[in-house]
Amino acid sequence: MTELFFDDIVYTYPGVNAPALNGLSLRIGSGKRIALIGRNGGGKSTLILVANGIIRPDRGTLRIDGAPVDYKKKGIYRLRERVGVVFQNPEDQLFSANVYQDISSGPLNLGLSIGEARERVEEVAERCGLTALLDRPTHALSGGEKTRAALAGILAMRPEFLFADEVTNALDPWIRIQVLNILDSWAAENHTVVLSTHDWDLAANWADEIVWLEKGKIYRQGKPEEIFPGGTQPERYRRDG
Amino acid sequence: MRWIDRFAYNNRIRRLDPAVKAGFSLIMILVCLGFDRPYVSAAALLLILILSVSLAGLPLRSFLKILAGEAAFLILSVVPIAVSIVRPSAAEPVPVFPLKLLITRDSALNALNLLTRTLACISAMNFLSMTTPVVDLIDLAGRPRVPEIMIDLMTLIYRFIFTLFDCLERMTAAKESRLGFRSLRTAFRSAGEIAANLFLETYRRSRKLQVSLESRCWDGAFRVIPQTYDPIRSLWERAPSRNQPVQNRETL
Ligand SMILES: Nc1ncnc2c1ncn2[C@@H]1O[C@H](COP(=O)(O)OP(=O)(O)O)[C@@H](O)[C@H]1O
Ligand SMILES: [Mg+2]
Repeated sequence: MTELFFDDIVYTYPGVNAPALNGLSLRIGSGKRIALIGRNGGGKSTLILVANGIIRPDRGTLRIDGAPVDYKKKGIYRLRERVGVVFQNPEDQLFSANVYQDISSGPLNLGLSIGEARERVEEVAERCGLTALLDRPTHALSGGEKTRAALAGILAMRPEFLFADEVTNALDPWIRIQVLNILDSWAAENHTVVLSTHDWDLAANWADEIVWLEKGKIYRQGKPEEIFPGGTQPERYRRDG
Repeated sequence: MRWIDRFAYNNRIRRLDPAVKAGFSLIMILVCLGFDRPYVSAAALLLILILSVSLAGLPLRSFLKILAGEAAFLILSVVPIAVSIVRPSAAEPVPVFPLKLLITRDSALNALNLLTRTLACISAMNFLSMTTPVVDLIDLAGRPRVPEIMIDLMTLIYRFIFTLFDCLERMTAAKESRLGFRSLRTAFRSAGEIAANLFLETYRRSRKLQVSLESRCWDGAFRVIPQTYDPIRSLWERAPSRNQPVQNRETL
């Protein structure tokens, strides 16, 4: 049983007074679809950066299978092999001249041979509907295609935990379904998918579990029907403070 | 630039080894420079034109249009070589016009030679850039021992030059919509602000890119799968490309 455990995490960005994460504790088990919700500035993106070891918490421990993450080079690589992140703006994640090369970079960084990397690229391109676009220069992709390419670049590394930060935001309804299907297919293979979103309907319908962050802490956590007992209209949940 | 990129991805010899295409261009350039004769250059120009249209399937009109644009600049700079200005000698009767324009046989030939030679060399470069995507050129540069850092830089520059253009366009449009270029003074101010913003935006993006590279276990070297190409014999064997399936023929 694999588990990612955020154990009482505190983190404050340099030069900022209020902590972005303020004593957050969260266990993420395997094989689940988790929606991360909460107001802007609630700490969702910061949590995702902690999960990937990009941010090292000021206090508290990130544990994977019970063992605290080792922030030396080797330990960080081991963490990132298992925890993948797709960031909010796909534009910032594609660095190669074409899609094929971009997707291949993760597997090659993991030390796979060119032949193995090729197999991964082709398999993941199929999964993400990118097979016809592999040859495209990355700058000539549409927004939805960029999102899928960024997702493919991470999936090619086969992360056990996949964090996706607001990736469904600027997509049209059809592409959105396509992206959700990709996430679903990954979760169905006994991986964990964590999707941060402002769309409560999406969270309620898609997720097995919802984690609601406010002010760097967990505000509520549970099954969709526990979090939104009376439906997902925001008026029903006037927050104090 | 986007325009050229589109041809580079949609021509019949797209999958041909870039070494072959670059080699051809290089040979054409060396021949033109080496012989330095107008008729040799003209022949090379013609050959490049024929191959571009018949072999690569580039539209003749587009090829000529690009060449014409470059030729316009060239002609402007060749004119002073053909024409010299002379002051009439004292022996002549009172000149109607105080200066005389003079074209000698030699100067005309010189100019013609320079013009055809340069045009041929430029069209050889056009041939390369219109048939070969930049990815392939970068890949080609990586084959001899070009330092890795150069290859990585070329990749990044190509990748982000379009992003920068987009960014510049957006900021210019935003300024224009608020009449930022109404007078010369505001125009200068606006341009300064745009430049400063562009710099900050570039910095912000480079930070984000680094974070996302790190999340993919990047350790300082870009590793990507090298491209695969059709060998030169595919030109006469005419078999369909087998390497990667021929992808997207639609416009980019
Ligand atoms: N790079 C940064 N520098 C300083 N403060 C930041 C930075 N990124 C986020 N913050 C702050 O941290 C808090 C949490 O932000 P974030 O994790 O991005 O929230 P969310 O993703 O839920 O909108 C916010 O108050 C935000 O202003
Ligand atoms: Mg965020």
